[in-house]
Amino acid sequence: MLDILAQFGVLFLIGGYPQGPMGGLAGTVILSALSLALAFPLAVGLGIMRTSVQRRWRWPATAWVFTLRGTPLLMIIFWAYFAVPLLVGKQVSPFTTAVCAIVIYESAFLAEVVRAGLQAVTRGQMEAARSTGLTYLQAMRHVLVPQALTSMLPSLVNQFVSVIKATSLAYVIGVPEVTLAAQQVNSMVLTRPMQVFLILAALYFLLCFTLSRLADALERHLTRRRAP
Amino acid sequence: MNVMINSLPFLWQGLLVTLQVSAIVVVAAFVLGISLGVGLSFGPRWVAWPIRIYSDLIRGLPLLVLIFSVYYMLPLTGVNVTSFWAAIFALAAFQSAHVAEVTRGAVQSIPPGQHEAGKAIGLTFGQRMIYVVFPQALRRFLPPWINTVVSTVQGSALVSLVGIVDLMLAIQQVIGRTFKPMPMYILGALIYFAINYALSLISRTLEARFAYVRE
Repeated sequence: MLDILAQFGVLFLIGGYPQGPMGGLAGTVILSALSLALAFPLAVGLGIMRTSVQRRWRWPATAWVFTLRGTPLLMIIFWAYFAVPLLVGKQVSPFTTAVCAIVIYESAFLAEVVRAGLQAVTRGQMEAARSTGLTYLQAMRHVLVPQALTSMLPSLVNQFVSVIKATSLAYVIGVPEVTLAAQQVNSMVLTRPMQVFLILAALYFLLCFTLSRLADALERHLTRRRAP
Repeated sequence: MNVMINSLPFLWQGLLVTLQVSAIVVVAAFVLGISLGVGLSFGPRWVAWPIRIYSDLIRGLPLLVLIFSVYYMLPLTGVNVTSFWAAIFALAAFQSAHVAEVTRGAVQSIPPGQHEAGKAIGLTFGQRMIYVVFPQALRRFLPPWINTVVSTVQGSALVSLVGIVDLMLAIQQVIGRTFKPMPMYILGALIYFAINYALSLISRTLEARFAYVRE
């Protein structure tokens, strides 16, 4: 196993870079971070729509969330593989396709995190904000969302972990990331799939476990700060 | 439209496989997950620690990596199984860790006074679990458990990557023959949505049914 690491460690970590595109574990992290960053604003919008009292806002957002939470990511990735080039009208790289698919998929899950965060802010906050003359959207932007964000932080880190795990599926359309790197190594070594996949598992585990510990620490810190 | 209708019998076979995989995994993960969750919450240290390590390890891995690992590793350990059972093994291992955490969360929400009261009237550990803890924990167990069931149905789409003809692979085979990806993917999304929407309706009914414990 160590000899595989010695020989292909670089491929596992950064893929074919600098001769080719950035890949490997770095590719996974870039893909996840970019997807999460793009999905977040979308999710805040969806979350606000989900908590709206007006049906014309609430229903489309609810439909979006329910449809996407019930569809396998693999299906969305395959679908995006065909749909994104059609919509854009030109050739699109697998990386962009994967980002689109994961953003669409994760926006539904993140929207639920945002909704829970918004609903955890006490009602009085909204009422007080409205009574000082802020409009509904101003109250959201200046009063509710900032408060909700703090309580959402641990869930956001946890969501980052699930995005990292979700990006492993992007290998099916050939996005350079760590699972693809493992498949490439596997087809070069040929005879020792077990060791190759153990290395892959260890890499994912280290990344995800560190992040979820971080989320736990954040949560403890926040509860301690909030307790009087 | 014609493509969709003509492909239905073929997709039906795939759907059956998807449902079969999901059902086996849900049952296995339910039994295993609850045992692990109880061990995690009430077991002595030598029981709780290995379960904690198992759960953290499994939950830190993408399902795809787990499926590939099991798929390649089982034959090397001398166990010869079909890809179908390898995939089910991986899915069950993955979901049982999640069910264990759901169980832990649910049973730990029961105040210690309940356990003490159970002990005081002379109930054994098993009796305390069955008559005192589980009925009260059920309300907190159901909603997140249904979420794991939904994610099992979604996760079962990954078995197509090790060559099992489930709904996902059936759809792709139809696309490979007809070259009409869009209608097929829409149909596929609809089928998956229908399954999971039905599940969330069941969950809502169950939650209403077991909402008798008030806080």
